[in-house]
Amino acid sequence: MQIAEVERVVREAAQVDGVAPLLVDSWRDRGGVHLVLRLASPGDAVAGFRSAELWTSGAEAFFLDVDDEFTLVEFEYDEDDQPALVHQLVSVASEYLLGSFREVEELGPRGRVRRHLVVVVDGEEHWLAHWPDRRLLPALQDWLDARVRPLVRRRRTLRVGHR
Amino acid sequence: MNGSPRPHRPQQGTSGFGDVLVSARSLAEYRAVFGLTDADLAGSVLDCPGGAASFTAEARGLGADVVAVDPTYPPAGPTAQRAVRLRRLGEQAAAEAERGHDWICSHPDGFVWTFFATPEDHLAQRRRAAATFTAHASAEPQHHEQAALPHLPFDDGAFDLVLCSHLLFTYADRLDDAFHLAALRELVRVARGEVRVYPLVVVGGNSEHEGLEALLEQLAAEGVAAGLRPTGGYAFQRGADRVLVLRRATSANGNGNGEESRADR
Repeated sequence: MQIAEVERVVREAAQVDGVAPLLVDSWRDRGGVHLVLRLASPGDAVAGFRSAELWTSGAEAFFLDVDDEFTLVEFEYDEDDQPALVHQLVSVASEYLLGSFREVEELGPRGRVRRHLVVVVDGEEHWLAHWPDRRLLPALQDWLDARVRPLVRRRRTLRVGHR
Repeated sequence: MNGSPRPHRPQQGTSGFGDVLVSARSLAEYRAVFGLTDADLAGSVLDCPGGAASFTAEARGLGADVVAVDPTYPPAGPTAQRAVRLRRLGEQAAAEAERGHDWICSHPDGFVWTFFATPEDHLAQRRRAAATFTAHASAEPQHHEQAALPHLPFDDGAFDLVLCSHLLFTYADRLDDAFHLAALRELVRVARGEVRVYPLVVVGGNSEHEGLEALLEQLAAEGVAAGLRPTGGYAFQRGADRVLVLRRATSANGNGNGEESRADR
């Protein structure tokens, strides 16, 4: 997706039925777009302090950061299905901002406690992982940018060729 | 998140390589790269990052206790959802193999054709590994955890052996030395025995990372012994013929594997 299209889809999704009306502030950075989501009418003071940020370069990885270093990373390799994923992430953000989530702590087989936030949208669970050090995430995005964009260009060239 | 510093953004890569995110490597390739023996596989092993390697699948099939972690794996959650996402990752890796093949064919002088006989053999092995990964990871997703350096969700000394393939130094053009140091510390932390890292050459390059010496000096000051060992007969990327071996200096095994210590280089 072009990042302008990501912005358009997020703003549209932030106003649809079933999603709490959201305020959207966006900024662009190094070819990507960051969209900060907040409740338009926070029902209580606690919820009003929460925020969520969806960021992507429009390549196949889409990141949803919420408070306290929890992140949902979703991949959608099919460009045609990416708008639906963006809608879904906005729904996840909305539920989170409304306080409709639970925190889960699990002790893995070898280790330390894993912390997650679980948000349910349309009966499907979305697990936001705790990423205490996020340096690899932008690098991941950079790899995708370099990897996916040439493929997108190639696909568009092919489509033109079919006409 | 809100109000905290923006994430550090490394410089955009300059290697010009195809930026392969998930590659599919086999147990045979891991054996050749890291010089893995059956004894190595008798203990617990961490593959970090695992990507779409079939190492975990194949080694577990032999009875080894292997766990793979990668930031592209799905987070914890319902098993069925995780299985679907792991399958899609494997399918994407198979598609990646095609693109890697195109790049290799256009840069044949950058590679040594011994482990892989030809570009076509390389492609075939990648495809096989991706298919094996896909089948195994979607059937047994519990062996593939989402995690990313420099923070791993494991106890100190959780694994007898830790393998790190094609992340550190490979992407040194976009991950800085501070990241590398933190990542190497974390790998050592979760290892009871050795940490083996390969390659030491940036993707698209042909010489070892120039900051390697300084990194190892810092680790030595923290009580981590480092050595450089030839691969187990593996050659592919030119200049990438050594494996970095780290262990806590207090490890009972000592340095008896024939590798060069830092001072020998």
